Amino acid sequence: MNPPPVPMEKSESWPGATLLIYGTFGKNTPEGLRYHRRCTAALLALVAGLILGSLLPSGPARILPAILPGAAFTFIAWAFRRYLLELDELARGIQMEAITWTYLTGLAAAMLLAGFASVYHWGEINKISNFYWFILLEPVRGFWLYIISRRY
Amino acid sequence: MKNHLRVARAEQRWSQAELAERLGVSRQTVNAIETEKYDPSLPLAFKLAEVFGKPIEQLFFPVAQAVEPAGSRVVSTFPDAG
Repeated sequence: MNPPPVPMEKSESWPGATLLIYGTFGKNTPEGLRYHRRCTAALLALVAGLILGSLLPSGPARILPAILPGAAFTFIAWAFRRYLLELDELARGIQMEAITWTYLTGLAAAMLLAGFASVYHWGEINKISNFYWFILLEPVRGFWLYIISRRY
Repeated sequence: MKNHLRVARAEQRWSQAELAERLGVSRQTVNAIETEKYDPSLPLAFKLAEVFGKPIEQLFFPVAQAVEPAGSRVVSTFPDAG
């Protein structure tokens, strides 16, 4: 007996524009909408805080705009982790591979710039900051490798 | 890995979106598995078997095997199996 005809469906791919612009799979799913809302709230709070901070006189109150960028991006990092955990396995794999490649690209770009900066004397600040990327990123990666490997 | 997901889905007359909803994954993930661009994890493969009510080996099989549609008969397996 022949199997029933297989319904042909439009081959709907991942949302390329949303991936390129927002780095997510869009707002059509509850987790996507939640992540976008959290990022928007964090960025609005960051901008509002920075504007407010520029109006504040010198004094202890200026600690608030000082910690705001770090706090906002810590919140975004937490929201992104939640978002990753709510994705299905393939979507999560795609995000994780993208992060891996971003990291590797960052390393290569930093060392490329550092090489040119050191040979052509682009200035001590540039040279130090570009090498610093590498010095900073490697222990961070080692730290996360350790933490993540404990789960398995 | 090869699979018979498209045929199994057609037997149930489900769309990719319906199957995705039953599995709790995205439609793109179902499409990627059907087109053999992505091999699912073991938990997802077992969930597929459960959703279709078939043994997992009737849905998935290694590239080295040639299986007739619906997994009715194994034609050949690994070299020099006998």
